[in-house]
Amino acid sequence: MIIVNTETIPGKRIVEVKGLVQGNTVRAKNVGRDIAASFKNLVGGELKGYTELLVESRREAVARMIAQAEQLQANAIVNVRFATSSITSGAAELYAYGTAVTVVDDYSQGV
Amino acid sequence: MDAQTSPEPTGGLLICFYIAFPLLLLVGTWLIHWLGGRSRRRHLDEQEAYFHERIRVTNLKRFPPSGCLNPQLVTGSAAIANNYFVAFLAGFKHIFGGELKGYTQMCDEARRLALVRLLQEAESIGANAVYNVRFETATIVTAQNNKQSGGVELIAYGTAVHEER
Repeated sequence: MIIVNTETIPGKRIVEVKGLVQGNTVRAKNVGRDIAASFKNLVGGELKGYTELLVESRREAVARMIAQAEQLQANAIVNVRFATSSITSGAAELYAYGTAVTVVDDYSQGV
Repeated sequence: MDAQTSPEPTGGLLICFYIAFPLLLLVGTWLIHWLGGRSRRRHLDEQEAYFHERIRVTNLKRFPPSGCLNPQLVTGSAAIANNYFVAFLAGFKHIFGGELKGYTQMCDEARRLALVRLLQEAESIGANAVYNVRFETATIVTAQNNKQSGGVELIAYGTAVHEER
């Protein structure tokens, strides 16, 4: 599965558009992390727990998007976008979407 | 005995809670903000200088005709916390208006950190260019009251390729 956020894939040609695929997840960290974060808000700096949460949920959202693309029997996802929103305290929604396509090698474009 | 002496200690405690403690917190967080910000920016400057010659970053949607190899999605994220001192100053700024410099700096640091992490991932897969870089921002809501900002979350993402030069 090739995943890019551009409209085209270098060295490949899109032969069929399968449709929009998406994946989302809302995740919360545990209370301990929230308390640590509220203390961190006094001094500033990076919130490691929340960065971790962000990385985890991004992976989850992308994995769900890929699962949808596989169901459609696509072999690539182009034009991938991410969107985030804060639902409640300490929870973040992450939404990934893109277009599932079928691509073939195209040597005429120069690899 | 306790009841007789209680008014004076409570007065002292009140002063402690409402004046001395916040003042101490302000001075302390200002120091941390100043020193920590300096070291964070130095780290970011170093990283950006390192990647400047190695990886080309653009937000162009199309690839050059010369040819690119191994396209792959790369991402970087950062969650940066608010600072008590910065929030305090911003509260004053709300009265007069104008730029909230502390928050501008906080967002800028988060964005640069996310981009540096994206570049680190791109380098680890052997790419020398990243196309179509995009940023996604979200604010963190604090549990107690929604008046106070709890910081900012940043995601940077793009397509890493190896292009011939």
